[in-house]
Amino acid sequence: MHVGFIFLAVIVGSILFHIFTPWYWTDIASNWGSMDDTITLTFWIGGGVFVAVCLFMVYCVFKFSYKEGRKAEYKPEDKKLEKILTIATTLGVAALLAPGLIVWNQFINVPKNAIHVDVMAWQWGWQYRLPGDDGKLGSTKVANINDNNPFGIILEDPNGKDDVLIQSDVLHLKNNRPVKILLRSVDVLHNWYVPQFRAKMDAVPGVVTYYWFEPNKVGEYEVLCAEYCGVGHYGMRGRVFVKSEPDYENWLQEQETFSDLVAKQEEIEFSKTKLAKK
Amino acid sequence: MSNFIKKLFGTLAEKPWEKEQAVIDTNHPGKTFNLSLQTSAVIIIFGISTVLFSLILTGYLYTMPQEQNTKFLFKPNLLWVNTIVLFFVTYFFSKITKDLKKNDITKIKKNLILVGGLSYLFLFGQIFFWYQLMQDEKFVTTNTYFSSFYIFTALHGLHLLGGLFFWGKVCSKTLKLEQKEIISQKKSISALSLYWTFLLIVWLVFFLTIYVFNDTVIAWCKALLT
Amino acid sequence: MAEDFNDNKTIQAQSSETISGGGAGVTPDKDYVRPAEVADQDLYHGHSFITKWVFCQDAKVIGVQYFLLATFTGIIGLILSWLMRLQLGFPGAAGFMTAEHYYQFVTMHGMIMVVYFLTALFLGGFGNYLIPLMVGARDMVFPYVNMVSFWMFFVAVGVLLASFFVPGGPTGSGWTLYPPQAILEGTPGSGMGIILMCVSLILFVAGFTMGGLNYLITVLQARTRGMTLMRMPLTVWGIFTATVLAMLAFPALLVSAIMMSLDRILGTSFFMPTILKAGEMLEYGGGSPILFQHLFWFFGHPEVYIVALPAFGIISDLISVHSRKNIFGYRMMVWAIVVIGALSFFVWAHHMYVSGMHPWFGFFFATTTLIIAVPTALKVYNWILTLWRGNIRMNTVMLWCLGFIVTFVNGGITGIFLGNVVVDVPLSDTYFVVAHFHMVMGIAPLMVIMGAVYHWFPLVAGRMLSEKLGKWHFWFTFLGAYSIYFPMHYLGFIGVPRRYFEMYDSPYITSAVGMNEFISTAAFIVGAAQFILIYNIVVSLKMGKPAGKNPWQANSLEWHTPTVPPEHGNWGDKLPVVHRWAYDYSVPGAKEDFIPQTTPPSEVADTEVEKT
Ligand code: HEM
Ligand SMILES: [Cu+2]
Ligand SMILES: [Cu+2]
Repeated sequence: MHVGFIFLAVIVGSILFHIFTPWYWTDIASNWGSMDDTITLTFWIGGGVFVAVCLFMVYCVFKFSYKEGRKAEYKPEDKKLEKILTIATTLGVAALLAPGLIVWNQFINVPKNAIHVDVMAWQWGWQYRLPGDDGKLGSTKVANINDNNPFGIILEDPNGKDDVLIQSDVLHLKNNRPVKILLRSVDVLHNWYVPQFRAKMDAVPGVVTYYWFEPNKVGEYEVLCAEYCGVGHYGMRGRVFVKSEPDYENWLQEQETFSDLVAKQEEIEFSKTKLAKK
Repeated sequence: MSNFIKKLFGTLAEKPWEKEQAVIDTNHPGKTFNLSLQTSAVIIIFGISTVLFSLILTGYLYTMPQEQNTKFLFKPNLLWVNTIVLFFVTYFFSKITKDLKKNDITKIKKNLILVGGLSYLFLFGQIFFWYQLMQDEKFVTTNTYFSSFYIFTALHGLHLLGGLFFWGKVCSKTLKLEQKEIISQKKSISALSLYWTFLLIVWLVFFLTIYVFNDTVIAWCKALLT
Repeated sequence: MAEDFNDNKTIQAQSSETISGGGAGVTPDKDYVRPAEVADQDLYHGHSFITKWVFCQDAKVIGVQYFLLATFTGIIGLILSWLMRLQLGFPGAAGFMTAEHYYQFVTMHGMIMVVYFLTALFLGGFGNYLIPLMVGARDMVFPYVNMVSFWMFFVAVGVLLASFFVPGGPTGSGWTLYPPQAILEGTPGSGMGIILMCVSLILFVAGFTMGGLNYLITVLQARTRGMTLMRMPLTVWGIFTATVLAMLAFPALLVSAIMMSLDRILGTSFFMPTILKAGEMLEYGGGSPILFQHLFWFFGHPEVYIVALPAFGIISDLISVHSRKNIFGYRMMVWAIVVIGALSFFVWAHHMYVSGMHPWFGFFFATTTLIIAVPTALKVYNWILTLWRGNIRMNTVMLWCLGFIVTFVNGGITGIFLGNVVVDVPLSDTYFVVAHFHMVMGIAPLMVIMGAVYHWFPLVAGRMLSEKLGKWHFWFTFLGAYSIYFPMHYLGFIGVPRRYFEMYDSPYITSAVGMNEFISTAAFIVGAAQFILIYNIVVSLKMGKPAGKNPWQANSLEWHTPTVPPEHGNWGDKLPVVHRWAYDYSVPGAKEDFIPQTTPPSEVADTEVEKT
């Protein structure tokens, strides 16, 4: 008898835990509410099945426990029942899959007006690059990376000249404007993840990967690395500030562009050669 | 094949608890296929190595570099000779199996030795080809094309060596036997023969792939299109 | 191709004649069995201690050897998990624990549990012990190869454990071993550790292939008379299908291990793109890290089912025996096993939704993944429908079965979360994943193993395990494990990433500290509870109640050997003949509530089975 009660307690406990848990989603700060909705839907359908199956099991435990002399039913199969269960399960699964695929379609199709952000990862840190007035990022190559060209921008590419370089792990984003995160890594796999934005994607050396979201809550957020990348993995953090448009523009003005950087370096070179001549 | 599928799925549709079915089932001898244990083992090993080699080929196609430097393939080269040697091995093996079927055992010992010798010749040819490649400054680290080339040929060679191990066992047993008793080795020998046929197939697929998917041919196709 | 051996037509003709009671040369007897056509197997009988117990060719001894060695590595995996939980629940409590150590422990724990513990135990352990007995063979078809298989496994475990003692320690690249990180500095054990890991895996695969060859051919070609495929117990179906999967999936692991070793040792670039490390360009270029992930998961996903399918099979048999009822929907169960096995090769990239592969793959793999949920769900329904109107013995074995159903359904449902591509985006690489896979492929199969141990121990040892200790063991393990992993899902919702040496100190996550302490405490208790089993086994071996023949009143052949425990050769002088499927429990009209597979129809003449 007590077996049935303990299992019942486990099921009821699980439900209560789910209802009263203090641990749940961080408040969402992006457009991906639809992801939360698909999770909620899965919770209802999946949780329903879990509870139903377990309750049925507990019922059997109460009802059909061993009794000397009773004989179990002999029933190798029941085609009709099996057919019904197959169809019902298929429908349930389809009901979960369809919305999932629709949202995935949104997730992989980036809106046209999204600001492109180059997120560059290494062991263990982040830096960012934003397009200049032309709205385009210059192309890059790992082999070009050096002290004078920390992002490895290809010098011949005119798009790269006005790119805004942020050599720190703090990124600022404009509120209510989609961003397309373009990820790359110079060494191993990483993953630029902000729990409040929900979305994530690996940065893979050798290719550029992407995802997009639209931040919709002004504030400060923490970036986590979500793909194991060596001993420093757990400490590979960064920060994101979502700002209103004017604040964002002010911040952007203060940042250095690639041509600024090149000019600065040429100045240094120039003074060095002057010194040498003297 | 269709027979096989019918049999498999027909089996899965049986209702073993019904009395009529029980009568049929009790009559079952317990064996699923009319194959010797050795042949079954060879077929399974072939299944495994098919997966293995297709994965390497897929990996190669996945990371195919732009520049491969494969002009050497289009000059006369040792790979062709090796391929022909492998053909001969399979040819002699099929002769052995045919003879065994006809109970004609006069040439079996001779052919068995020939088969092993030719296989070693093939291995030697492969290694010599490696040597030539390296002379030509094409190393396993040169690019992923050559990495795949070396690893594929190496695994194929190991596969062959594995076969040669069993060949050695069977061969030494057979050579000790009187002519008349050779028939007792029939199962093992025909399993070996099957093994070599598979080795040939794997090699031919690889051979075809390196000739079709390489920069020279791709450049040529592109030239045709434009 | 394959010619039908038992040419169906002749048999049908024969049997219809049998039924109509006529026909020359065929006895009109219900109990008619065809004379043996396969020559009896010659077995090698060891005489010295070494050939009898060490280099032994008896599949049963090999099975026990696999079981013991796998359990031993499993205990190491368990101890590693304790150390990790100590760090996570009470940071700094274990003074020596650095991030390097933590990652090495995570890696070794994961790899040991999945490959060297569960796979070896289900296929090597239960497979070897049960296949020949259940299909009525004297032994595996290639006993010598079978022995070599175990010793290869032994060496593989040796190499794996040796990596704890090499400079730099074992690899700390995560059990997924993703390059480039696995072979670059910055990951612990990127020197010798990773090489030894690859070597050990290669040995394991080679040894396992030898064993697998045996399981497959024994099941297909060496069954006894009357044992059709559809009369086999589901345990054999599960192990058989899992072995097919293993034979097709392990080559992928082999290829990736070989290629990665070459990248590490020779400097090839199969998986290595251009890399800049500490300001210097490495001499790699042109390879693809994502290719490794495809290869790894092409192995890795079927691997999940290599563990799950034998578990499905075994649990079906346990539930059926202890409910005194045939397994509901036997054919559906077989189909589901086969279909799940086939589909499992088309879902691998659901582990890679956020890996940067082409996003269109997401549509395909989400669809295939959710399709596989259907046959899986059907299996669950059939388990609980087997309980329905059964006569359920509430013994320890049944408790493990019930525990399995709860944890498996729980983990299966969270699998639907993760399989549905966009739901996976926020949850992947968080503790939600850790909770999910522990529930579904850690705890659930563990429940099956435990159930199987309590069920088959009397066969192996001839004595019963203590029920009382068994029940304590169950409740500690089940309740403890459930309270470890159920709350852990919610850490994932918060967004705590997995493989974090220190839990995360962000303001909104510090609330999880209490939960982590709770989880760790539960983990210590669960781990300690396993020693109840060891104690139980040790004591029962000598002092347990003698089991006698067939203590559970089961039908399948393994309980009907002439001697208990079965001896080398299993069947004495005469191979058994099978007259029915393995699930004739509570047949209407029969005197007893079970009819062994060897019972001919004439002995149970009054039974009446309705047509379905
Ligand atoms: C009570 C028993 C167990 C406990 C307390 C435990 C605990 C843990 C912990 C703490 C981690 C590390 C999580 C992280 O840092 O991301 C982990 C990882 C893992 N565990 Fe377990 N575990 C247990 C049993 C098992 C079993 C039976 C399996 C068999 C499937 C298993 C498979 C794994 C795998 C595959 C990983 C992932 C390793 C990786 O991230 O590379 N565990 N476990
Ligand atoms: Cu990381
Ligand atoms: Cu999977």
